[in-house]
Amino acid sequence: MFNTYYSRLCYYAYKIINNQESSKDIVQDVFLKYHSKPAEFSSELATKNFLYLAVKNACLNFLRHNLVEKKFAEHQVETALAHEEGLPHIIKAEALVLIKQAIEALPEGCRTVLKLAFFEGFKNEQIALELGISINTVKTQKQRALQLLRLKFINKA
Amino acid sequence: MNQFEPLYSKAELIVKSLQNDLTDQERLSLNEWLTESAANQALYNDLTNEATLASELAILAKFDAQADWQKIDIQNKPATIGGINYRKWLSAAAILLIACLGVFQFWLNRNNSHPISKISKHPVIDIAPGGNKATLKLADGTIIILNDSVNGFQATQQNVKLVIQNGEITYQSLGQDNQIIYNTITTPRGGQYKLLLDDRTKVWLNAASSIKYPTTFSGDERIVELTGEGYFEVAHDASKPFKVVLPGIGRVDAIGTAFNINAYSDERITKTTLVQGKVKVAFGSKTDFLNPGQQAQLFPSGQLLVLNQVDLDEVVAWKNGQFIFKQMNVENIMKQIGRWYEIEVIYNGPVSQETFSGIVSRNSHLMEVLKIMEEGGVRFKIDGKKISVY
Repeated sequence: MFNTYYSRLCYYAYKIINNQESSKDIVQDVFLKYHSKPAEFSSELATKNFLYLAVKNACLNFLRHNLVEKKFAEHQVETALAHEEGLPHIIKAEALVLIKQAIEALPEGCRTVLKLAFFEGFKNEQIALELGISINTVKTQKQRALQLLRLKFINKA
Repeated sequence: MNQFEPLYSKAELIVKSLQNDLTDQERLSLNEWLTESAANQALYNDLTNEATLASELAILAKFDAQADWQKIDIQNKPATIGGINYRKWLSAAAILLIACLGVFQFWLNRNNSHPISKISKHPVIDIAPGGNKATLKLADGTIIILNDSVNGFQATQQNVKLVIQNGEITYQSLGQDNQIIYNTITTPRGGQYKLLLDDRTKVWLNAASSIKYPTTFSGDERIVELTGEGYFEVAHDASKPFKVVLPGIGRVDAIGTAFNINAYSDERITKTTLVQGKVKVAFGSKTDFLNPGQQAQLFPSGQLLVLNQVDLDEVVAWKNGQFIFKQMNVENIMKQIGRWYEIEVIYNGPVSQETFSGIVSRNSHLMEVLKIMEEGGVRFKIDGKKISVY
């Protein structure tokens, strides 16, 4: 459960509150609460819905708390987040998890290259140094990975 | 339907579209959603552009379930007193109780002609962690064993008196003799040592490392020699730069600074990480200045690379009594473990490039550390001080 949902929930929280450490705290709290409850969720889907909702509410509380401290009006948070703003991040979180899973399933060589490039933000040169391979090999491996993933980027950077 | 559920299917549609895998109907539904709002379009663009996708994936990757699970797990553990984990004992006691009941049952039901079989209990083979130990080599070659219990030791080297109190070494000058005396502290595999230099600079020495230093810093520079790994908290003295020489590798210059140097000969990359202040690294013809959070990596090819915002907790974990592994492969984890538990690692077949994350105390027994990787499917066989990795 934790392994499946942790990173996407943290990502979601981070997108709302923009604070890495607090995102982790919030999500970990949600999991602790979830674990203290008897299994009352009928399906995996119901569990997932609950977790997203709990994280969202916790994030709103977090923001509300911080905003009050900063003497902002409370209704700003309500209007900004309670309705629509937070939800599209769930689409992103879910899509990213699917892409990440696809990357993890790649064959070893090109997976390492793509992980360094995407997850660690390494430039081709850095990847070449890190792995002790030539820059051309890095490029080929990256290309191969993208082909295997069948990822076609629509808007090239 | 739950408010979130349509979002999950949108995500699937977007990924399918990235992979050119949409059915006609799905394409229609996606297009409809895209035209609904500019925000939807923007979201779609973020996920279908290579650069923005990579940066979003990097955010997701920051949240590592395996590593953070260990943290929660540690927090939830009941306090360990004197290194004894009571929860473990409790579960061991429970197992023993069940075993006893089983034997009792057996005894009740036994037929007199059958003897009670003995419960054979295989002791769990485990290896204890390293600790504070090192050797001190004096100028005349005398070697002194250092550990926590060395207390009240005294020796005189020319005009300098050496005193060891509670494992801490101090030097007192007895005269005006300006001859520089060098001492060397060497930690074995499975050892670490903290020392205070003449200028109040603190040095933590990791396992299988050594530092050669003058008993007093005279002259206009403070120079020490390091092999292996050390963490330095340099006492500020702008008039006397502090220099760490890495024999055969290069030099790190510092003024009032905290930094870590990992220069093990069995590591491919020499890493200098700045925690605080400013340092200059000089390797061959390559020099660079580091700011806090930066790490200079010297590659065997002689290339020098400076990384920004490295994870300082991970780099100095050893000094704080921890192992922190973040997406590290088996080989690199085993190198660290090997030095601390004095074990020899043998690889059977190609080494998995799978990465693992976790936080474990350096006071843990070996099995606890290996558990991180065992959960990921790596198998170990322990034979004395040799570990085979499968």
